[in-house]
Amino acid sequence: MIELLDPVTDRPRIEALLDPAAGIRLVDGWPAALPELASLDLPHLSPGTADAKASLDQYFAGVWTDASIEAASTYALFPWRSTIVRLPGADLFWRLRTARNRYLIDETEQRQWSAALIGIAGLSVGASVLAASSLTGARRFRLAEADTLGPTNLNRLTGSVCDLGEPKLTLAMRRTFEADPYTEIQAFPGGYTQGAAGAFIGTGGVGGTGGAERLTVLVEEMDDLALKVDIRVQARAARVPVVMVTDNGDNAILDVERFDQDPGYPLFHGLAGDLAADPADLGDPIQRVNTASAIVGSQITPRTRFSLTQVGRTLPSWPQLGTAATAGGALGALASRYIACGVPLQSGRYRVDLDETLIGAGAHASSRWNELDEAEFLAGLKAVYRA
Amino acid sequence: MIDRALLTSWLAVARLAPSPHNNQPWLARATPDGVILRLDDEQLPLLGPDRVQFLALGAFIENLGYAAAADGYRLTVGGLPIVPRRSAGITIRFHAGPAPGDDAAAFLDGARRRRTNRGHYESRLPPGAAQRLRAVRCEPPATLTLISDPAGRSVAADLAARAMRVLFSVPELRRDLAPFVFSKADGPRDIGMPIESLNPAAAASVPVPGSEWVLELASPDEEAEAARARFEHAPLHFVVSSVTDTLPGWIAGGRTLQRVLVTATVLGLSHCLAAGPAEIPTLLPALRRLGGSAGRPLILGRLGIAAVPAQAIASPRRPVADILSG
Repeated sequence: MIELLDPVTDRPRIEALLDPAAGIRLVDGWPAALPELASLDLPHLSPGTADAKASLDQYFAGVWTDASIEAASTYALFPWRSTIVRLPGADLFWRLRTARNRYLIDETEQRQWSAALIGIAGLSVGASVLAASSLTGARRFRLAEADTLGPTNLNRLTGSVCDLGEPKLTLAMRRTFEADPYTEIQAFPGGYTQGAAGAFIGTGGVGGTGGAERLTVLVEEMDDLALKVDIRVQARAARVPVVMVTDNGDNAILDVERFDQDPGYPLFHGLAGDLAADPADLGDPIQRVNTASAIVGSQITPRTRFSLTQVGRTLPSWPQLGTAATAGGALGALASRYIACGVPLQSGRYRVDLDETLIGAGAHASSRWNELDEAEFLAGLKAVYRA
Repeated sequence: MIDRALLTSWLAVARLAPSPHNNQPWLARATPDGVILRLDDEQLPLLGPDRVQFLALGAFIENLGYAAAADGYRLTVGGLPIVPRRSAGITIRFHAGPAPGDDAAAFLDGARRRRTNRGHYESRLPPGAAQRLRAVRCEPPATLTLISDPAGRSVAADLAARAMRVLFSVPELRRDLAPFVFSKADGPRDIGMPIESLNPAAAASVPVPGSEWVLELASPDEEAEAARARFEHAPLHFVVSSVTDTLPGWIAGGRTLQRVLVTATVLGLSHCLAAGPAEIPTLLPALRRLGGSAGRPLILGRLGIAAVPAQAIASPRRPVADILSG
């Protein structure tokens, strides 16, 4: 998908791509990078002073000659953009890209996060988790998604109408590579399947000893309940922690299952019983809805409750907002980073309630036609599914 | 090949250079014709900028030069990196040269006798001292500004006082200082400053570990006003600056600083340094004005005849064996 070229060993290929006949546009990243590198190397300078100017003149003349810039470069070819970019090499680029994280994420944490292998199954909300993870410096991923981009995705998934019909996986990879071409991505274009479980979750050590490298964290964002159960069974067996974020109106719910710390921890916190022991029930549509309802619970926003009662009637599927997907992306990325960096994040359910933060307890009141309180919601579900 | 015993004797002089809180942040690795110097990570605060640490390394190099010169060797400093990374190595080579001149012994003696004296100074200067100090050769791109007018000295005193208040008010800076102050309640040390050299009254009245005095007892206001009084009474202040605010400028600044201090010692003057005004962003603009247009100020100091010479208490030094490897 992306080609990284060394300025010396790949010189013939670079020259061929730079030939005007190739129709490839060259972007030189160095003019933008050099002043930023100077500010990182000499952060103590007092801007606007004569000594700062003299220091920068000395720096640019002594450190970054044309030859040293070329030697420190990598050429990244982005075929879908017909563009080749001359960039600082992987380490320098990493330093630049994480520079504004400094002290908020310390150097050890940043290295742990960048070295972590993050698996993301499902690239709707999962794409937001991917984006926030990549933005904060994660650069090793396994991504699984078989779906393509449709117009209804564009309310929550950063995308372009130019890409309608393209695989979501391809689009996620493009966005990630364009922000950090040195990212490692292992793609599972068929999505997560039972057959791909071993390769996706991994059972081995770093470098693939003893099987595919085991994920540091699995972010599970699939729609299919049977697969959600299966991937947890596999992750628990491999002792891989699972993170899931769920939309809740404009808010997000985070579920953390630390199978790495407790291999006996029940799937979905045990909210829907022992799913690992009896997954066959999920073939039944009514059982499926009952199970999903048990997992999600009724502590959701009044509008989410109402919307869920409409699924299959006036709504085709689970209602989702871009605000929640964005908040959920941040939440999933942060939880994953905490796990990767050894922060003691416990198994459990965590709610981020932006409504309550902004408008207080009134956020939980149901007063409009499209809002249900908890009792009405449960009664409605019972009437429909358990009649 | 430099004789090991000779090199050791030169390093014994070099380590007498001043350093922030007397942390002695230097390490030396012997090479066939000299040494490679670098900062000692273990002696550095958590975060930079390391301007004042490299200034200390510059002063160390200057002392090394005095010691080598007295034995007939000339010192050269290899090409310095511009970016001040803590891991930067500085190559020093020694070259056999002509017999030492008349000044060599005097400067070596000055380097050996140099002590910081944080007490009060008399208001007079020995005749000709200011001219001798003005004639100190600056190591490019460093510059030197001497300040003797009352208005300038008042500004310097105010800067020293404000820097001291900041030092004892900011928890992070107090924590950085604490390991480097010791009292009779502490065991023997080979780095840091005895509390009596900082605050003789506290040393006499408070029998607690130095770190406890720094973290719990020292009063920012009292320390600030004491610094103001001492700087106000000093007859001569100086600012060492550099045209560039990069590692070569800092090393040159340290060498120039040491030339001033050793020359002052030879002239019978005491000195006391204040790095805070050059390191605290809110104080820097005033220090820039005080230093004129001489570049980026690196350090402020005061010079004079000590009212109480005995307050120039020798701070301990690390053994050469701890500094030298290879």
